[in-house]
Amino acid sequence: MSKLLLGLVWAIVAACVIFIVALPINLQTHLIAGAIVLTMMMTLKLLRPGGTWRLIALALGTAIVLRYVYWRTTSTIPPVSQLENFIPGLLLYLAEMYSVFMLALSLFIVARPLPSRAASPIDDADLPFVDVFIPSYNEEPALLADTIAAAKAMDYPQDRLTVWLLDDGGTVQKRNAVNIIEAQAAGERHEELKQLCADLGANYLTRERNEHAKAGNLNNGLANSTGQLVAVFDADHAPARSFLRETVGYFTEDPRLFLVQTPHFFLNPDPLERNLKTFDTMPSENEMFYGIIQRGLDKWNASFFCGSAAVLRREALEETDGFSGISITEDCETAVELHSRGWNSVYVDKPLIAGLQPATFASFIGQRSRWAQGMMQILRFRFPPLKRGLSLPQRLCYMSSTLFWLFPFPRTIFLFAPLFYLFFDLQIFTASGGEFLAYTLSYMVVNLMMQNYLYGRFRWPWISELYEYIQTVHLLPAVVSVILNPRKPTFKVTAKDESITVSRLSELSRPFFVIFAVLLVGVAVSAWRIYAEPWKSDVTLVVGGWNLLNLILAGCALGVVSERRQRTATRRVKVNRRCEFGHDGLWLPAMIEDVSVNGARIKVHGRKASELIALGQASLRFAPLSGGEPAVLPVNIRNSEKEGDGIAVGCQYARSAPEHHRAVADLIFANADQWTEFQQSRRRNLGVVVGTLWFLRLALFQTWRGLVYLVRGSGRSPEKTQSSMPSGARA
Amino acid sequence: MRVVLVTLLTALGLAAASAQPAPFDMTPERPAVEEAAPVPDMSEDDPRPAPTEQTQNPVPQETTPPSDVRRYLLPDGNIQLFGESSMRSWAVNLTAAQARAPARLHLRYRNAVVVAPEASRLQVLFNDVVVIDESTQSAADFATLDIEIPDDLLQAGRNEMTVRIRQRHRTDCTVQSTYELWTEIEADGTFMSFADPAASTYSSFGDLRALSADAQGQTRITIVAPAMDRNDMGADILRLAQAIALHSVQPNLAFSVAATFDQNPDRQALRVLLGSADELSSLTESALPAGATLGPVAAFMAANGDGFPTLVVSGRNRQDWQAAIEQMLGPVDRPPGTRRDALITEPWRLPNAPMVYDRRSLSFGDLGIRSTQFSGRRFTADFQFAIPPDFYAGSYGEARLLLDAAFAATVKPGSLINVYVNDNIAASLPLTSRNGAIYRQLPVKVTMRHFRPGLNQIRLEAELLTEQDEACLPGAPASDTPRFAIFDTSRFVVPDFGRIAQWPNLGAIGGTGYPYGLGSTPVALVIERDDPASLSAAANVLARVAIVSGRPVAFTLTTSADAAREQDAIFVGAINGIPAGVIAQVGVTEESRTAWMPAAGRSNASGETRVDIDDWSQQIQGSRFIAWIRDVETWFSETFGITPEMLRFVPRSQAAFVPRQDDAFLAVQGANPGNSGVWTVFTAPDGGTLAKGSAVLSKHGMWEKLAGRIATLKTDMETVAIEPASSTSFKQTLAASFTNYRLIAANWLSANILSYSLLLVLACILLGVATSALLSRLGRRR
Repeated sequence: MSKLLLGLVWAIVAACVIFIVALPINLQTHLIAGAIVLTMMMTLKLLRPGGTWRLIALALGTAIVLRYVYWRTTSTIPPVSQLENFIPGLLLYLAEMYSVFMLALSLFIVARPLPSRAASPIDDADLPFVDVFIPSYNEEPALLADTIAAAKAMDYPQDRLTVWLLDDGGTVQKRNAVNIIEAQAAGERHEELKQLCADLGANYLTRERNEHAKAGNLNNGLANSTGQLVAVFDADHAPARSFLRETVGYFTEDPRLFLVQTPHFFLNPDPLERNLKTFDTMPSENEMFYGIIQRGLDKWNASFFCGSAAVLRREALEETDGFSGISITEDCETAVELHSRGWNSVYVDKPLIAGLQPATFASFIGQRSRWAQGMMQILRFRFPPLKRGLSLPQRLCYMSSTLFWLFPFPRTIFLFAPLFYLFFDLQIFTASGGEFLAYTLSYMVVNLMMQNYLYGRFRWPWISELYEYIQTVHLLPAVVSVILNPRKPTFKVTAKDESITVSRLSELSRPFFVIFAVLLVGVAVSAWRIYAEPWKSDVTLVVGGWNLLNLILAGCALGVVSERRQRTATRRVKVNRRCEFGHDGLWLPAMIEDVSVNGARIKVHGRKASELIALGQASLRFAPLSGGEPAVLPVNIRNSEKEGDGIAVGCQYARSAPEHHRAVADLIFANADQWTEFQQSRRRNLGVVVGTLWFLRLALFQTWRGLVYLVRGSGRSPEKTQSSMPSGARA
Repeated sequence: MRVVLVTLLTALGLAAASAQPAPFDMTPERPAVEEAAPVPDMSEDDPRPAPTEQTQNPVPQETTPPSDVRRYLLPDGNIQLFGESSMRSWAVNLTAAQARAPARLHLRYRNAVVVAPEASRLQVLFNDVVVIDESTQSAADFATLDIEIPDDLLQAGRNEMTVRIRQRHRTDCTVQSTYELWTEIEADGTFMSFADPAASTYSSFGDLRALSADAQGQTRITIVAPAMDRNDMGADILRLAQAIALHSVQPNLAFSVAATFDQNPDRQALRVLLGSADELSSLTESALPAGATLGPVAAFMAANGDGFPTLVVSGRNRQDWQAAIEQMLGPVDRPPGTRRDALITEPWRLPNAPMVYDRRSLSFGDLGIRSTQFSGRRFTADFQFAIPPDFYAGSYGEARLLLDAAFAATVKPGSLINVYVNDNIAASLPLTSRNGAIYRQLPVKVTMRHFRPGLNQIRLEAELLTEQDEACLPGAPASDTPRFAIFDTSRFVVPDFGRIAQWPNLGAIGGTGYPYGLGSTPVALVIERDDPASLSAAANVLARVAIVSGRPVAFTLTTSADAAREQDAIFVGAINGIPAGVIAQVGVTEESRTAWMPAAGRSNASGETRVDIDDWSQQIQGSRFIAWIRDVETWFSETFGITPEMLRFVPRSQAAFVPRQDDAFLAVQGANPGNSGVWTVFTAPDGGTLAKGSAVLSKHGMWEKLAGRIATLKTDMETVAIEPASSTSFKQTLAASFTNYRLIAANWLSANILSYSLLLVLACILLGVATSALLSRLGRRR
């Protein structure tokens, strides 16, 4: 009852705000009221109050955005009598309205994200049986070994934990392929993995035919197992020891719970982070999603399955005959279906797995194309806004998640809209320079502030725009194609384990340079028009400024597609763990400073260290976090240098036995807290002003870098520059 | 009274004389209403032969046989037509006798020296038939044209007269140079002469509409009421004055009320005799109209005594003449509460101004602008419309012009179409394309900031730049190649606007006589009884209020302010004749009763053009860079002009007004003591100034300047100073509706920016709190 009353009060207040906003006040009033609102927002932001104050600041921002919408709708659309202006004008208008609508949805979702919470502990005897599925298609056995070892090492009663390697690379169909070489490779893979699983204590499972891609593979796993819960890890996502302890408890609290999802934490940078060198300082792209959006979705019981790092309930999955496979994003689709059947989901805001993400720009785009196309398919086949069984908040949440992927359209329109004016003199936005400045500027500033307010710690200013832009160029055709042929896209496994041995331009870089050149011409045209056509310099200035903004973004993107050479594909994680260094009875005390998937850096004390180092080979001995016998891990010594009273040694793992994989897994994956710490270290809110300046500097530098790569690359033939090494040969 | 009129005449004469030399006038960029008028659709065509013989030789006015009956044609004095093309139309009402009689048209004009005779033409049309089509070549002195008007051209009743001019500069091709082009038509020499003496006589009171202004553009009317000293006739006289005003609808009426004939009468358009047949027959030797001894009569005397048309309103007794007045009012009354289609302006300006009460779309054709093509540099066209007195959208409102127009390919980008509302720039639309342009229903936003109740004028000015003009080869100024066209399918679109009456707001009475013309309840009219000066002044004021309201004002005459405490009231009188407490109530200091002594003879009526640095700086162009900087400055101040006054929560309290030495006549408005109605006070230091000031202020063109809380007419009898109202009360005029309240709120909040900001912030805070409360109850909380 009080809820209803409160809802009524809220509706009345909201109607009042809309009434005030939709008053046809004059320009001065808007300008001054806008300035006052902005000042208030800034003050609130500086004081960083939480709770209600945060919502007040958001309400203030919403008011300015709505004023912009009102003005934009009532007085800026070109007259229908001028079709050449009206059509692009309407497109631009729709693109802007889409952005505002998405902003509204995100406001709803992240209005008050759920804080982190702890699952209730359960007695070992009451723990459910868990099957761990590690679906694989073409990943290297070494990588799989780490993941399987980490999964096996999870803190959970061993009799209640079964690890399954679901191999789709060694199916009967593949082994009997017409292509003899492929068939042979599949056969070898089949045997090798079978052995690996046997060594590591996991179950190997493959199937007849590669039907329904990942969903089919998982369903095959379901059909062959019996545990009450199913944990899914991608082949490159290794869980921490605490994974199941942190997640399983929720299932006993809520019998209608079908999913506990945890964030994806990546040990390697994505191409943008690598090429812009922001991985260590700036929050990753997916942190906005896992850091705040999933928490927001969780508030509305709408956090969804992201394909990996999650635990699901078999009973729920059986209700829908397993994972849904109509779309190529089976994860989200499954979640929509189960949510609509009244099942609940929970999101745990703590990185409990560490994985790899696409390293090259091309595979990054491949992955995003799959997501975009899959979400479009869900929109087409499941249409969450009208799906029966979903609650209203859930519908809005899924609407946001799926409609988000339409961003290539508005982004393209924003990119080219100024050029309509600059090149063809079309007036697609009827406003004087003054109105444009007063309304659009206040809207843009408010928009930046709101983004910063909502996501400040997780996303720095202009980075969303940059990510959207770099994806747009190649995602637009992908989205158009899936809209035209919704059933055509097929599941393609994303390659995540490439490394870049030579600095080069991405094979997908050409359009970015073309666009950059066109925008650059646009800037020249604006300058010329301001000089030559003084009678409309106000509008030209504004449109030229907009084009310049696009150019800055496009320039920064040149840096993103200029692939930087990088030796280690994965990040080193600081561990500071005691160990012993040596072999055969000679063990020196040492400290493991940091580790990566491929090697470690240790600090050795003692005079005899240099002798050992001279040998080139040694072993590390340490007590595993999972307990038990000390683990011994052979290493090759790559380099060493004297450092204070010890010697710093860089070494590479020489894994030959299953226990070596267990040791590596224990070193890097066992402790999830170190990932949290690392993430926290990047989560700083730069603020709009500093963030913008920082971005400007970054963009200038990256533009220059992109152009240098272009000049250098033009001397070489493109084939040579496109050599990427498979991950097995991790240098 | 006579002194007043003589002074007035002298002043006007001086003004006319001083206008003689080619005016070096930097101001015509924003010409006054009568100066510029729109465009002849055919002035670019080959001149059609005029249908009648033309007398090229200047005919001295004196040679006109004195026996001829003259009917002056210009409604309000000399007409000046500026620019490359200009036009003005108005209605000329003729009696049946005048229409029948053979008539000649006399026209006297001169033009600027720089007007090229071969490329310039002056046309006069009656009922759309060209009667004069001359090349203008009278730079040296006035030229007089004397033309026979074709027999069947004129009709009894309404005729349309149009003066149209096309002028080109002799040497210059700049837009600036077009401001030097003018042609002046002199009122004194422009008239119809009728050979038939019957043309000078009027018969029924319906012929009142054939009244014409004199050579000075004034219509002087004397009301003689012999019994006014004995009877309390004030109310009858004032109703009669309104009846006459509504029948004749002259731009400049001046009434004088007297008990006896003036022995040396000034020239006057009409003399009215009011009284019983007995009283009147002792007054005049001429025969009264038949029936005056039998019952109510309102008719003209057969012969014009002293040469003036004389209207007799009479009967056996007072009841009879009152009935006669009612009989006169019958045809011109309008039931209270009915809407008007238009504000009548046709005696001085055609077409009538359509009333725009709410959302309305008017085509240029309806507004009197025809499809026109134009070959000069500066095209102007204007139209008028009227809005109701409770207009309340000045702070936020935007009307739109939907232009159908075309620019030839020769016109360079950067050419402008400027839109002026009541001579204030309201929009500027640059041509941005290089190869000409065709606009179809191109929207141009026109701010309503300068709209005012009643009559409004919108002027379009297209400034056309071409390469040809930059080169300016000989003959170029006269080129006939069309550069610009505007079509009568263009529209003027007014959206729904906020409507609520405000007081004090003299603009409402200036525009449509609000609230006195509503007529639902009689207005209290407080005057000094039987004082001819007060009566004349009241007649002037009421006549004008009646004309702008389009109906007679119902009033009750009283001398006590107490009777008007809870009413709408008008006070007319010398400052000492105004009842005690009234002037303080409307916000004028009581000391002004003794302290207000206007400095006589300090008038600024010499007609000297005021020199203003802003006008100069607008004309003188600096270097391109400087000009650009200035453009940016102007743009910024025009776009974001934010004054400290806008950033005020509470309006400044207004000190009581003290009249200054150069104030001759005051119109003041305030709330009545019960704050239930409007009191308007018209006052002057003495009776003479009161009559004269009221006559001047009630002229068309002056009356519309009324605005704000106080309007003062300066001693030069030309300048009106406005004291704006800092705080106003509102009175609902329409049935309560959400849409109207919304628009009213929009306007009020646009004028009170801080209040808007506060409201918005408060609403947002509430929304934040409500959202917070709601969120803690919706969805998961943990």
